Amino acid sequence: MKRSFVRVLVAAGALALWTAPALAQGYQVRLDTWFQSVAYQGWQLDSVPFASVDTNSSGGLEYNGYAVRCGQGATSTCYYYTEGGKRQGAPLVSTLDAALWGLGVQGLSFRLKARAGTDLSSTTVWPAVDPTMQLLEAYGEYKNKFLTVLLGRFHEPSRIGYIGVDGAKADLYLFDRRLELFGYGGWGMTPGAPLVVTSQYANPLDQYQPTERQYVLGGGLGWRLKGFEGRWLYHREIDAASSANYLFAERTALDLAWYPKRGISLTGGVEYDIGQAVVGTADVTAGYTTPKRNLRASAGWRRYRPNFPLWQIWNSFDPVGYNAGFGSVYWWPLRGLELRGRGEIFKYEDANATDRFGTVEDDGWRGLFGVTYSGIQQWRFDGNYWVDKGTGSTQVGWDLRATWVPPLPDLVLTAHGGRISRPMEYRYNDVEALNGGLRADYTPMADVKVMAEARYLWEKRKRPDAAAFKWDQWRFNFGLTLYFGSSPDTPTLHPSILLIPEARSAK
Amino acid sequence: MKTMMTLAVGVVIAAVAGTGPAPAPELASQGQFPHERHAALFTSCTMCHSGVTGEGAVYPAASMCAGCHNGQIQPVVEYEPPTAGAYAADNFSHAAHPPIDCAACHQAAGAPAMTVQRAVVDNCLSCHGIEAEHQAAPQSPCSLCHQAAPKPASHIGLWVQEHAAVAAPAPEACASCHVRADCLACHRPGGADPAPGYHQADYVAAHPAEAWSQSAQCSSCHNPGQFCQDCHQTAGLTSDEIRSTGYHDGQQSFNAGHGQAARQSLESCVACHTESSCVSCHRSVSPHGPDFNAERLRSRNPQACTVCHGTAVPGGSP
Repeated sequence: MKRSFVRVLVAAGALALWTAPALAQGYQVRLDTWFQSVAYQGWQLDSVPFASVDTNSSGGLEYNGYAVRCGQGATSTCYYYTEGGKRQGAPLVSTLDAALWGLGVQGLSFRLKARAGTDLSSTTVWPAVDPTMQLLEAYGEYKNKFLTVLLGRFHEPSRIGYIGVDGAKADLYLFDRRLELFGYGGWGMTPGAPLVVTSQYANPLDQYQPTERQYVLGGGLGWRLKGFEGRWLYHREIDAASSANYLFAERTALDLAWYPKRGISLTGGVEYDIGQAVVGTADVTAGYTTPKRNLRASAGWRRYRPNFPLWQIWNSFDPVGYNAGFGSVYWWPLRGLELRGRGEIFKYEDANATDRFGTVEDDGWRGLFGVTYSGIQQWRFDGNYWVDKGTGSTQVGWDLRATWVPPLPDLVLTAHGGRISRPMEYRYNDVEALNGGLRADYTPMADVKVMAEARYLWEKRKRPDAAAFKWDQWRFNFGLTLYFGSSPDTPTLHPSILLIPEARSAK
Repeated sequence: MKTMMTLAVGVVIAAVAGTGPAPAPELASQGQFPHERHAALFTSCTMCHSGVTGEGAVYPAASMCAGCHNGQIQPVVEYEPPTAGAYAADNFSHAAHPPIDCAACHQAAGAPAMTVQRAVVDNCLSCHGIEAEHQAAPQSPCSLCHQAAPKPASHIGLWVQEHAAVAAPAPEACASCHVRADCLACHRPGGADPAPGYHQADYVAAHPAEAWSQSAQCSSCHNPGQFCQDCHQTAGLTSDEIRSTGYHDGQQSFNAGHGQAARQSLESCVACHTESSCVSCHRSVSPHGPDFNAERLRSRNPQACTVCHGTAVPGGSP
């Protein structure tokens, strides 16, 4: 794995060098590299026979001071977590973002976004670094005033998620771009991952998995009228392995925005899962910004219901959504001062499930109050306090951040800290976590950015048993961003400009 | 809480003591001046903006309006020249730009005379040909005029958290400044490296509660299999056999009565549990709710039904 990662890095460097002589072309390459070192106490599942378990003073079951969970009956086995070995991670991730144009055809360009990642530690603990090479996007694009065509791997963002496609997409713009008709098709990707659905890396626990990639077909229209915008989408995923054209997904979504007057907006949308005949995520928000732009307020309603592919069994478990009313206010009373507050109250729909062991909450609320002050030269301060009274989980916390831009060029220093108190239902796992860190961002030249950060997480597990072990950890982050490409800072003026007599000396 | 309140009050007092009044609205007067209604009167832009080809934009004095708007010829109007402030095109210099007709930049193509507006970006691009999707400033020809990408009026407050409602109906509007890669900076599928600024610094400690309450909608960016299970597996939190986990140790009878919790937060369950582990019990204990539309699901894809029902799927064979 490490060897292949080095190969990828060499290939990225070679690409950058190869593109350098192509002066006739326009190109941009951005290479982000990030490294983190982290170490923490692992967990380990252990078990004992029921006969070895004792009843503690509060009536719970325990073994050697550890709370245990047991099966039914005197011959069952009981399970508990103990301290595991030290887990160490050293993820190294590089993301390449490249664009190439100026190929002799006006409007033709190529784009590539790829990621190479690995965990340099001997014990791989970091998520999503397998496979080593991940292709997020790679497509050719042709664009003119009326038409945009994509061919390759791309992601289509919409209310139903970020849909990955290996195929083609076409956008047709009519009526001075006020009307857009679009369609796409090809082979689909795994939702939320740059992987195909048949990839072993999308399935670490060896669940049921499709044997072939799905076909994807989608389309819709969008319009931009004065003060009224909208977009409608239909999306369908078909099981390629099924002769009966079974579906992986069939969904539609509508988004609307209305701006009746300057500063006033009414936005919203709804997603409908045709495959299951259920309403998915939906929301409507009314917003107001004062003419002086020193106050912004919004209020609305939203609904959230998770969506699962039709080939998975989770839809048959009837997940329910929640409905929430929310509001927010942002106020800038003085130069450099922002006061903000957000609140939401929510309630789940009836789960229609028998509650055998007590009350399960089905409603809650969330709130946040924050302040940002940047009125002192070279300084910026941020603070937030929030409460999340959820169902099965509750957390209260705050965070503070001070940013200093010293009188040195291109250097930014940040100190940050915070606290979370996080009780959770169903678990002896109440947590109080404090964190603090220092970060430096340095831009030694326009094409190079460097970041370094040290962060400490102090986590106290307030369990009533012996499993209240530490999870304290240091995290060290390093980042490097490099830009290559034709320099836009010394642009060549378009030939048409040079046809203007007075402009000939401008070059 | 008390500490936070004290701090907040302190910051407010410091702000009041250390700053002047709130800034005047940016270029409000310019935006309100009805150029088109004066089209017949002003035949040349330089009649009012005579110094514009020098450094900075020049506006007429209020006394110029009062020549007509004196209450006798025309009603009195209030007008103040815009104050020099934060211009979006902070790199642009009228003096340095080759001389071209004002309308070439400040009027949309085909628009009636004197329908003046701020520089029309499409007009800029027609000469400064950005032949591919342009990049974010300062790595693009946008930096000809903009040191940093100018923020639209909507991009205030916690815009990052609230932009979806505006972006979803008209993603083309975002494309005026942003490229697809900008979206992928946060909306990237399964990012192994942290999206800058998206999650708070201590998110590893905060994420269980947010995931459970579904306030964060994790699956928008993370796949439960590739991301959540991958990490939970190495942390020792997952199990192939649902009965053999000590995770829900605060509730001895969790297995027997987890239905409501599971239906409310199924995404969170899936972060650790496999389909096969759930099916080990639910093959004989129906997980379906009273509103379960079996026929609908069967007609779309009966393969999920066969996991429990085998080939004897109620309503017909797959």
